[in-house]
Amino acid sequence: MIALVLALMAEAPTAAPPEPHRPNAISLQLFSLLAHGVTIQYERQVADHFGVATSIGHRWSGGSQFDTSETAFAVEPRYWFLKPGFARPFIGFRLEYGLTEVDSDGRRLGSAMTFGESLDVGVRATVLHRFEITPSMGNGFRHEIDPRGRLSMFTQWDVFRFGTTVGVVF
Amino acid sequence: MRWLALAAAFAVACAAALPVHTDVRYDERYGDDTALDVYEADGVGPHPAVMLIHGGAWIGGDKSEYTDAAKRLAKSGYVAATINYRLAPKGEYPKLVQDCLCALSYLRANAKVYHLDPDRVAVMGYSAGGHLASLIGVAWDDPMHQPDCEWGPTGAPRAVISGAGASDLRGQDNFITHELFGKGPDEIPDAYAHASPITHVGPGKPPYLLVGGDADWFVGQDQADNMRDALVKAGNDAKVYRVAGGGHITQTGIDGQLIGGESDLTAESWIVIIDFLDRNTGPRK
Repeated sequence: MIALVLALMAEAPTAAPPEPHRPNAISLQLFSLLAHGVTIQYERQVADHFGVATSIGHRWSGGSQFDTSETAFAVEPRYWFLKPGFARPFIGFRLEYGLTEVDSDGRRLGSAMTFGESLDVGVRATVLHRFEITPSMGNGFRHEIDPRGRLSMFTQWDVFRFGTTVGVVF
Repeated sequence: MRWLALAAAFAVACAAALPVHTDVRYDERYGDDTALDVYEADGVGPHPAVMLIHGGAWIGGDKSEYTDAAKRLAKSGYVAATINYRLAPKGEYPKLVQDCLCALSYLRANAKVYHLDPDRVAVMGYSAGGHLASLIGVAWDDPMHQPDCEWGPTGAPRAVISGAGASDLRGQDNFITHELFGKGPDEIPDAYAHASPITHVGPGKPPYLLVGGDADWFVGQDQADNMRDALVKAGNDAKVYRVAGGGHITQTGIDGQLIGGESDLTAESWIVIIDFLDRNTGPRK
C-alpha cells in the first residue's frame, strides 16, 4: 500500500483528463459488514488538498448467550497528494471513539470506552466519475477505559489496520 | 459518578509500577522452558489470581504474549502469572500439560510470596494455551497429567477461560498434531482422545468461559459449542462468548477496520472476562 501511494505520488497527474469537481463522498466500510455491523463514512473536501472524513458505525456481537453492542465515531483529516483523478493517494490522522456494552441474561456485565488514534495511508480510485473504492492501511494505538473502574486502562498498539470503503462521490 | 470512576481508572493506570517477578523457574530441570513471570496486585492480599497460558500451536510462542494482559489484570486487583511450558516436540503430550499443572502447583505453594489466595486461582489461555487451560480444568487429576516436579500434584483451577482452544483433537491429522503427539491419530487414537478436554467432562468441574471469533478458520466454532454443551449437560456452568468478525489472529476495530489481535483481548471480551472472574474467584481488594 505504501509503495502504491509513493508510486502514485511520483506519477505525473497531467496525463488523465480533469475529474469533475465532486467534493463529497459517502461510503461504506466493507469490513464492518463481516463483523455483524455497519460503518458509514462521509467525507468532504475542504481545500485543494485537504479533506475531512467522519464516520459512524454500530455492530452487534456476543453470540447466542451474550448481547453486545458497540457504537463508534471517528474523524480523520486527510491530506490528498494529487489533484482529483482516477487514483489519488492520501495520508490521514484518524481519531476514533467507541462505546461497547455487554449484557447477558438481562444483566449489564459492563462497558468499555475506547479511544484510538492512527496514521493511515490509502488510495482512492474513482470509477465513472461517480463511484469510489478506497483501500487504506495504518498503524496506531487504542486505549480502553472501564467506566465502572473494574479494569485498569489498557493501551494496545495496532501494528496494522486495514480498511476498504466503497461509495459514491458527488 | 462516571467521571469519578474514569478519574480513578486513570489514576490507577498512572500509579507506580507494581512488583513483578520475571523468569522465575518453576521447574529448574528445564530452564527457561519452564519459567514464569508473576505480576503482583496492589495491597497485602491475599488476591485472586489468574495463570495465563500462551498460544502458538503447541510448538511456538512465549509467555510474553500475555504480558500486557497480565499487567492489566494486576493493576485491576488480580495476581497474574504468565507461564512458559515445554513446547513440542520436546514437550510432546503429556509433558506440556504436566508443566502447566506444575506451574499452577508452584503458584499455590508460593501463595504467600505473591500475596495470592491459592483457592482462587483461575487459568486462562489462547489457542494452544486455550486447549491446555481447558484440559487442566477437566483433567487436573488425571494420572497421566500429574507433574513430577518438586511442587507435586495440585487441585482444580477455580475457573477456566479458554480462548479459541480446541476441545476435541480426535482424528485431527496434521503436522501440528504430529508434533504434539509424535504420531498420527490412526497410530495412537487413545492419546488423541486423552488430550481432548471433551472426553474428560463430568460433574463437578470448574466454571468455563469459552471465547472465540465467529470468523476463526483455525479453530472451528463447534469446538467451543460442543465443550459447553457437554459441560452443561454434566451439570457444570459454561458459556460461549463469540466475537463477531473475530478471526484467530485478526479482529474488527471499533470503526470497522481489520486489525490484528486475539479474540480474548478485545474490549468486549475483557468485559465478559472480568465479570466472569469476579463472579467465580471472589472479591478483589
